[in-house]
Amino acid sequence: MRRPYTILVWWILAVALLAGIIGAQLQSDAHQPKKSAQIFTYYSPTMLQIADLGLHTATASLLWLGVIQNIGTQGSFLGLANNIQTINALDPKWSYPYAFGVLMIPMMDQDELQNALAIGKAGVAQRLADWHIPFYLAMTYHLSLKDEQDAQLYMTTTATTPGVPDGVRISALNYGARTDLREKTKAIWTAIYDNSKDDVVRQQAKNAVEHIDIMDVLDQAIALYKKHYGVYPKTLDSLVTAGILTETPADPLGITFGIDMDGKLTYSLPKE
Amino acid sequence: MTTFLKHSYAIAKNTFKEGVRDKIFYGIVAFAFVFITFTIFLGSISLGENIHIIRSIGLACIYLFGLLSTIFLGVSLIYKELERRTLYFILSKPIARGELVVGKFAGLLASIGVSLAGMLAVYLGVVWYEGGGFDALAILAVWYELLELALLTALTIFFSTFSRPLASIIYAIIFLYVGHSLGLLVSYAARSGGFLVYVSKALYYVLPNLDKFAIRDTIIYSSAPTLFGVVWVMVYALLYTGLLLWLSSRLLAKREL
Repeated sequence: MRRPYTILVWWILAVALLAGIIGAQLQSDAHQPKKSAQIFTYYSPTMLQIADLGLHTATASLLWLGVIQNIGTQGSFLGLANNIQTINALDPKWSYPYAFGVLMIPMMDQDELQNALAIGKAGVAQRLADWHIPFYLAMTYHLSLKDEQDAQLYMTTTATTPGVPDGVRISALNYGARTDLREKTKAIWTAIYDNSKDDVVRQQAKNAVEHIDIMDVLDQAIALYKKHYGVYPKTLDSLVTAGILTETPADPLGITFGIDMDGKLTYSLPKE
Repeated sequence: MTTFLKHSYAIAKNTFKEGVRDKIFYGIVAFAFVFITFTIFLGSISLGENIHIIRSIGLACIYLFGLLSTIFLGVSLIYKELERRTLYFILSKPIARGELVVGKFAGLLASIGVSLAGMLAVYLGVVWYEGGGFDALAILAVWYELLELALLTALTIFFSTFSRPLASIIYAIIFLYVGHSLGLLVSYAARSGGFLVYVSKALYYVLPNLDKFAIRDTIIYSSAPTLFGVVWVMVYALLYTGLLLWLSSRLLAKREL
C-alpha cells in the first residue's frame, strides 16, 4: 500500500504538469506570428477535386461555411470572390453562392465587381431555377455600373425564371417603365426585402430602402426650406433649426449627408 | 456449390461477429453518429442553407467513416489470421482458400453494411428533424457507397494476402485517390493529346473507377440515376469485386502455409 504523502506528491506532480502544459499553450499562442487576416485563403478547385475523393458538394459546403464565417471577422474581402468561384466549380448546381456572391461582393469590395459579375453570369449560364441570381445580377448592373441596358436584360431573365414570386416579377417587368433611378432602386430593394429568406440580405435591403426614404425626406425638407426662406439651407442642422425636421436622420448605411449650393444632397461615405 | 456457400457462410458469420466486436469499429461508428448529429450545428451557421449543408456533409460523413472501417478492418483481415497462425487451423479443415476469402469478405462487408445502415438512420433522422422531409434518395446514395466499399474491401483483402497492414493501407489509399481521379486524368490527357490519351484511357478502364459510385452530388439535387445506370454500376462492382476475390484466393493458394 502506498503512503499518503507519495500519493500527494503524485497529485502535485500531475497538477504541475497540467499547469505547465496550459502555460506553454498560452505562451505559444501569445508568440504566434500575426496571421494576415486581410486575405481569404485561395483553394484551387482542381486540387480540391483531386483531393476530396469525389466529395465535391461536401467540400463546397465546408468551404462555404469557412467563407461566411470569415466575412464577419475580416476587414478586407480580397479573395472572397475567388473562394465563391471555387465553391461554384465544386458544386455548380448550388444556386445560393452565385446569388450571394453577385449581390454581396460589390457591396463589400467594389474592386471585386468584375468577379462578382462573372459569378452572377456563371450562375445564369447554369440555368438554375433560382430567380435570385438574375435579379441580383441586374441589381448589381443597376447599382454599381448604372448600366440600365444590362440590368434590363437580367430583369427580363428574372421575370421568366420558373418559381419567381409575383412581387419580384412585377418589379422586374416594371424596371424599364420607371424613369427615376432612385425609384427603380427602391423598387428592387423592396422586392428583395419582401422575397429573400436570407437574414443578411434582408437586413441589407431594409437598410437600403430606409436610406432611400431618408433621401426622399431630406429632398422634400430642402424644397420646403427653399419655399419658406427663398434660399437653400447650408446644412442639415438648418432644417432642424427651422423646425422642418425634428432631428437629423441617422443613415443606416453610415452615409453622412450634406447640402451643396444648388440644394442637392451630397454624400460622404463611411470611413470603414 | 452448396458446400462452398455453407463454408463461406460459416466464416462470414464469424468474421461479422469479430468485426462488430472490434473496438476500432465501435469507435469509428460512435464518432460517425456524433459527427452526423453535429451537422445540425453546421447547418445553423450556413445563412439559411442548412438542409444543403446537412445533406452534403452528412452523406460525406457516412462515406468517410465507412471508408475508415473498411480500410482499417480490411487490411488486417487475412494478415491477422496469418500472424496468429489461426489460418493453419482453419485450413486444416476441409475449407478451400476461395471459401475463406469469400467468407471473410462477406463477413466484413456485412459489418460495414450494418454500420452504414445505422449511420443512414441517424442521417435520415437529422434531415427530417431539420425540416428536409424523408430523404429517400439518400438510401440510393448509401447503397452506392456500400458498392464502392465492397470493391474496396475486396481490394484490401487482395493486398492483405501479400503485404503487411501498413503497406496495405498505403496501397489502398493510393488506389482510392487514383480511383477517384481517373475522370480528371482522362480529361487532362485529352487536352495534352498524343500518347497520353491512350494511356489514360487504358488506366480508366482497367483500374477500379470509384467515381462511378459517387452519386451524392447529384442526389442532393434530387436527380436520381436511371434504372439501367444503377444496374450497370452494380454489375461493375460485382465483376470487379469478383475478380479481386478470385485473385486473392489464387495468391493465398500459392502461399506456402
